[in-house]
Amino acid sequence: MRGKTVKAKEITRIEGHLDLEVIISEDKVRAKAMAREGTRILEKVLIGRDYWEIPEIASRMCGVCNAIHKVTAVMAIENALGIEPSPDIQLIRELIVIGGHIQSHILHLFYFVLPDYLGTSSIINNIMRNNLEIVRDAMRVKKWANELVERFGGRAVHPVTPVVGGLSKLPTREDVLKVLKKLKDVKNVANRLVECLLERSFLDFPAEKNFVSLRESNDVPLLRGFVSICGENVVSENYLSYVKCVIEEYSTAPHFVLRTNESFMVGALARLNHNHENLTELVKELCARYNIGFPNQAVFANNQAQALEIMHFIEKAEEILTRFAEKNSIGAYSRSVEGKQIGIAVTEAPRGLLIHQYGINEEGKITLANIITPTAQNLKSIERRTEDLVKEFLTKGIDIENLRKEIEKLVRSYDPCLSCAARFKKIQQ
Amino acid sequence: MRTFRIGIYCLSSCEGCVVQILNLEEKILELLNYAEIVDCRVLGIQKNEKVDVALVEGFVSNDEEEEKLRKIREKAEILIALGDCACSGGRFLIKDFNNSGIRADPIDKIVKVNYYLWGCPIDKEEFLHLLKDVLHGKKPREVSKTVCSECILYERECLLDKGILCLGPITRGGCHALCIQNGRNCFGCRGLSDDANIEAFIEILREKGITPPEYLFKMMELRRYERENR
Repeated sequence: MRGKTVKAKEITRIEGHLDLEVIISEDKVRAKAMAREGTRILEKVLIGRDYWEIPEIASRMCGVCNAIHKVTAVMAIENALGIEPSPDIQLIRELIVIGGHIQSHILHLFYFVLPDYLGTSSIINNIMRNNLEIVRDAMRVKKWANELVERFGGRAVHPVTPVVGGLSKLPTREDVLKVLKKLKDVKNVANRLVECLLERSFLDFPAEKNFVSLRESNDVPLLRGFVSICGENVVSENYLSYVKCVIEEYSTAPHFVLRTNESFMVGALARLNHNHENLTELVKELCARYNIGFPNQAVFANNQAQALEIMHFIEKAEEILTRFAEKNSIGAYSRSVEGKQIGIAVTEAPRGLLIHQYGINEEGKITLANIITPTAQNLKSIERRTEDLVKEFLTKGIDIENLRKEIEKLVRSYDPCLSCAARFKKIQQ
Repeated sequence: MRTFRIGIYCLSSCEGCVVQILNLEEKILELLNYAEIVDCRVLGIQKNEKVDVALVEGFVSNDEEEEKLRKIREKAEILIALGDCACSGGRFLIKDFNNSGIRADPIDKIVKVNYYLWGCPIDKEEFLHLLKDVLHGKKPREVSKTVCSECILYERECLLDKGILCLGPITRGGCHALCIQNGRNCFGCRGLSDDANIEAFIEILREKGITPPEYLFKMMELRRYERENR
């Protein structure tokens, strides 16, 4: 197969448009991850707008992980203006984000990934006939996650209640109790569903060496904490000085590497590699039963990490909801703290570390906007690990069609989201 | 009853409208008793056949997407524009009346569109309603009322009276004033209502002591231009 080029065009079952080209020459294998997303360049549109409009537009970065984009934008602006919302407000925002994460993980694992392991191309039309129960279970859990976002965020896609300074509407006691009641049933369904994924076997190569995620001593954090870069904790506001942006002429998305020029991976696997000791007991039992240990360097284990996170976040939501159910009121106030010239928020999107940065002038208009998405940070890892995968399969002997399929599976396991990542119209030469 | 073939396509967008369709959950399973999804990259279906109904999300940002859209139109009996991006080029959400120089063409600038589903994102029930009408060969009912006229039904205090900018009076209804129900103002994501009088709206804003945002004037110019050129 030496001297050939393998092209995976418009890879299906991922969010957005991505082509992957692998050039196999005599002495080396070179992969290029080409974001093909048309250009929306949201940051450019944000400049000059009123600060309160920013979360509205920024959430439209992505229709799958919109909840975290909205909350992160709100937090970055609050960081600039020096606003610190009450712990209750922060918990409600976390619930909205948790709902978004569960919804996104279900979509990825059961609509995008599972068909590969059931030997079919799509969950609709094919799986449905043979595995209707899995489809129904996935839909039930996703429906509950969406209801969580809807009741606390006002709408499932592009929630409306998170605003700079707090929430535009507080959930009622009925909202809390209804979602909590349904959670009890959904937990059983989710457990069944997650096990159906955990019992599949995934390739144990290629392996990524470097992982980056938020880290806390007693949580799998989504909205706060240090950034752990391969185990070393740095203050999240300083994170950007530890990575470098690489512009590739073939891609409409920026790529990122560590200071050492090495690729790194963000996402569920990175989160669990750094915070696995804080998983709930039930999730730890699942790990033990299916013999899954962390830290784990196999890229495909990202699928298992997402499955485990579904259960972990359902239990986390249960804990928060129970706390609200036992209280009589919600503390909705905010404190003023020192503002910053440039506000920043570092959070965990379903696909990994997300950074929003905004500068705001005295009239409340946006002067600077910078959004760094998980997929942009993962693109270099996707390229390097694809090269590893191809090399491994070449020694085993594989035909080009199957090689293409394996490449697509690997790309899918990163859960890339190109709507988020694409930034450029034309690359400035 | 014969099976209808549906294609779902994404141009430049966040894919949130497709996510809304998937959020119909078990109602999709019901729908699939009458219809087959024959094209949808996100779901891994690419049969490249002729379709009865093409659902198109996103705006056109380059020649490649323009070409893709023309091909979709060729093979589709009925074409439905999904969401603010496809319907208006994302104009009403972003309100960037082309300051940034990014190409963001609504799809009806390139091809004929049979039906429009407004909003960012689309409302999933409204989508289902339209699709059922189309599958039954019924002429769907146009929503021409404003967000304001739906908001009134909930007997909430008017935001304009409180000095808060709200685009409800000039925005196409159908969302049941969702944002205002959730303590927000209307952002105008469903586009201008057919009878929107922007000039009068600007006057009202001034009377209420609200500074009319610059984009309203651009919106007005653009509307005048489009009326003269269509």
